[in-house]
Amino acid sequence: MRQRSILALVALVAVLIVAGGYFSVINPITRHLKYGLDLRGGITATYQAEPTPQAPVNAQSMAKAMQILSFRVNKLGVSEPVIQEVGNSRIAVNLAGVKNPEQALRFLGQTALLQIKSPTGKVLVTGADLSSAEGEISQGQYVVALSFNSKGAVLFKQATTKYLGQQLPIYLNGKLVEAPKVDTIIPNGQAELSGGFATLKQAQQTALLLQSGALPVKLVVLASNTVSATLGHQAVVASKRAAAIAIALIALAMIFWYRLAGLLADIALGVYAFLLLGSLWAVHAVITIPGIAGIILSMGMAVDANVIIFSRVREEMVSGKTPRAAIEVGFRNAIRAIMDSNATTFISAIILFFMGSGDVKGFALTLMIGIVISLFTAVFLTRQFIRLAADAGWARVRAIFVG
Amino acid sequence: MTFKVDFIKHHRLWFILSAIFTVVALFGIFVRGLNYGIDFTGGTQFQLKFSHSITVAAVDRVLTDQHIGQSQVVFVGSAHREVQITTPTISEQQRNQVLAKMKAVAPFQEISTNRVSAVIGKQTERAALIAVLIATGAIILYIAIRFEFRFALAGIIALLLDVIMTVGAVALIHVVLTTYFIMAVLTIFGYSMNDRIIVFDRIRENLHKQRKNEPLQEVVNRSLNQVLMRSINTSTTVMLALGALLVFGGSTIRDFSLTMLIGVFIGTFTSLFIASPVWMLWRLRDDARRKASPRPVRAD
Repeated sequence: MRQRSILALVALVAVLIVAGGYFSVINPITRHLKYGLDLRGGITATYQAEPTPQAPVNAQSMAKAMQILSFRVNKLGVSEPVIQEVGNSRIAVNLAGVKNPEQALRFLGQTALLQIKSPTGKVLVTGADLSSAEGEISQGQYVVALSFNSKGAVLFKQATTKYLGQQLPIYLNGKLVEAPKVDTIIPNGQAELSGGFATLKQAQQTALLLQSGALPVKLVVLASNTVSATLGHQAVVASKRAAAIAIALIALAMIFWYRLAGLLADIALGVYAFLLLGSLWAVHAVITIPGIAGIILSMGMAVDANVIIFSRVREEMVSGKTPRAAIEVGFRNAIRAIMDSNATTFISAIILFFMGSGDVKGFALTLMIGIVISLFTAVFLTRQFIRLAADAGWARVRAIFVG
Repeated sequence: MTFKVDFIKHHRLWFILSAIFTVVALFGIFVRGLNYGIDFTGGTQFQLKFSHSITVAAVDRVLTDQHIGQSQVVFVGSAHREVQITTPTISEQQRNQVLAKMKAVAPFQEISTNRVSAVIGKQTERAALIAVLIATGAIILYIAIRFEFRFALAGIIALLLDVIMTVGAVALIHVVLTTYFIMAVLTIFGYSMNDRIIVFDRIRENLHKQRKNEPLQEVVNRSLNQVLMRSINTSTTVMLALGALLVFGGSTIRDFSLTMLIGVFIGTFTSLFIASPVWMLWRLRDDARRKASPRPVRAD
């Protein structure tokens, strides 16, 4: 019994140390986690949709707006963009590593409504009937070559027939771009927009916007947060170092107070940390600063669970029980308190998760995951450790606890 | 090590002490006022890193020239190279103009830009507040079922004090509030409640073991002394961790850690010195009442 316990304990600790070494040094688990833009650098923007004469803000127009934004974001060529609908009338866009964020935001939110009107102001053809738009150079000018689809081509033919010899003003986002005179009837739906583009790039961007289609609703930037990749990087480095120091301090304090039992709790805490990071990785959670707050709180609760257990065991020993009996009674008493305290925190976390907005949700999610894991490690793993240690007859276990 | 601290005897002192702190905190919140950041007020904030050290006056001059003189300029870090400029909401064009003119001060790199409409922070705040209210209700229900109603209310009273004192301290130090501040308050909310339950659990357990004629004061005192070691150990551990985050963490989490540190300290104090005495006095009052008006004898 005794030798088997020693063996089991040593084997368990060895496996955990090897696994811990693998996940922290050889293939650090932190490298696989997804970090939020507040840590990594990038733009986070929230657009508010406002109704236009063409469309109210409803599920249909929002879906269309999302689709158009996705198209435009893809044209920006950023990796792993996030475009999410928030509530009923907002769209959040997360973009990593964009060079000129302000310009990108303006580009994304542009309405891109192309209208060709009659001299009296009646809308004849719109950008909705375009089949393609390309930025190019024509006769030494930067232009956008427009091709209408079959419906657009018919409309355009009718328009050029009716207003032959007159001017047909072209509006982009309600602003007059140019008003060319119709010289001939255009039957094939080909047209050119030469509204004084200064560079080819400008023409190309306008072409892209026209291709993506006009946003049915107006998008106003409600909030935008740009973090440079360097600041983001510094934040991650600083937080990692701070976290490492914090964990080391906790570990030392536990050993100082509870000796061997503290060391065993530290190992359990290490397992907790890896399981937590692993779960966050598994559910594809994005690590943001609020999320880290949730991790800190759950870590504090995991430490607390161990402290409560040891204090209880120590008390039972002081009152004269044998090590085994003290461990069993101490654990039973401790677990009731731990369960109640974790349950209340878990209840608040669930409510925060369902009621809170983005940041609060991230906080609540890590907190909930952390609580479940800390219950497992503190209650199950620490208990196994201490039992094995007692069976192994390192029993001056009493001395270990009572000090 | 066992303790023999009389928590109950001086409960008036603790109550007066926390009343003073609460008044100071309320003074901080309502007179000095909370230092709302742009997450709540709306505005534009950008951080620039210059190639060599500069003066605030030089930056201010540029801002005044651009008619946004009511902006705030603060240094980040000690080298006087990085500044954070907070302005009212300005258009992108205005911002570009400012940045172009700023090149005259010294060459710089743009580190971050944060542009917020006031709606966002307010909504986060409101959503969090509603969530906390519902959570408080749920917690009261849970404690009332698992413990008793008096514990629930004593816990919530102490929790309210924690939050007021922490927010008051934050107002007095004039920490700039961001949405992270809301997270910090939520975390303190969770931590304090956790702390309280551990203390109440001990009292509940000792009530079952209460000897006949043992005064309630004795039971509460014994319970508090038994959990004292655990309270000290746990809060020291958590505060060590937060201290490390405060000293070594980047600028983004510094304010968060500071708020947490204050809150954890206050939460530990109120668990021991406020929540339990409040519960005890309440219980004693209810017991005295019950004794004074014995149940009417059924006439059958």
